[in-house]
Amino acid sequence: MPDVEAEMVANVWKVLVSPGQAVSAGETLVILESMKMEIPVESPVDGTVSAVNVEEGGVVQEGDIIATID
Amino acid sequence: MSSTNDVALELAGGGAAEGTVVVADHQTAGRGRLGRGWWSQPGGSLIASWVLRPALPPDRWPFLTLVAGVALCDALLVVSGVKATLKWPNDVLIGEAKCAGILAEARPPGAVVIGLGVNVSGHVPADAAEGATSIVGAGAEAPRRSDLLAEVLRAFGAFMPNPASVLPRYRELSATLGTRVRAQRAGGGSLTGSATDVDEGGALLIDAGGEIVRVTAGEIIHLRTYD
Repeated sequence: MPDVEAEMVANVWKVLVSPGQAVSAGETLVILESMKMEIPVESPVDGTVSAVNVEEGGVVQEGDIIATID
Repeated sequence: MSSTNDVALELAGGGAAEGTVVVADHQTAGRGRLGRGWWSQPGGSLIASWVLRPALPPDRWPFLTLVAGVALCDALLVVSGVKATLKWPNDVLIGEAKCAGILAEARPPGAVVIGLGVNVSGHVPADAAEGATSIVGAGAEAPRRSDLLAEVLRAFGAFMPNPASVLPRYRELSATLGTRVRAQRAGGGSLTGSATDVDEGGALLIDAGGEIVRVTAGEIIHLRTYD
């Protein structure tokens, strides 16, 4: 059950998935933004999104768990 | 071409090497930050994106957008004699009007694409963006776009062995430091204060009534004395 962590402090620009959704490895889950760089966060595995812990317009700190994939 | 960033991201995904450059005369689907459009005129803009494979941890990647801003300002000075400044983090201004934008996008696991759009010559439509200008519109002679691009890439490359070495030059070019600013805060609300410095992470430090707040994302508005 991989947790997907934020690698940096950033704004949450887009949330592209919701709980229950099937995703493939490499699929973009969330797009972060910091200092005018857009950073897609991808699913590490094929699976189902079991939790999304961020909202568009919110902030993540390094190490925050963005989503969990079952 | 749809967008040089889109093409460069696709190339990066296919394994393109660091230094791969994509150039277009104009774009049919140019993108600014956060999905905004970026207008360009055939023959009148420099539109280019390049691929990096930074030997830096991902939390340092956004700093590269500041390096790109400095490289573009310095290139404008060398090629056109234009004294441009930077609105944090990397809007390139001539006077108070924006003449260029930079959009960086990460391509996990290891690539970054930096794209820029420079209004070189010609007419900037009134509805393109509030406060937009071009190099020619600011009274300078139009450079050859290839000369400008070559100088941007040279200047950018010169900082890459040690990206943090750009900070002193960044501070010199900043139009934001020393001014009163309003920062939109993620999660709502805003913060008003004096922009005091840019730190080694590229964040803007704002003195808000004695409390120093570190801002890494979101929009900054320069306030005039009457605001």
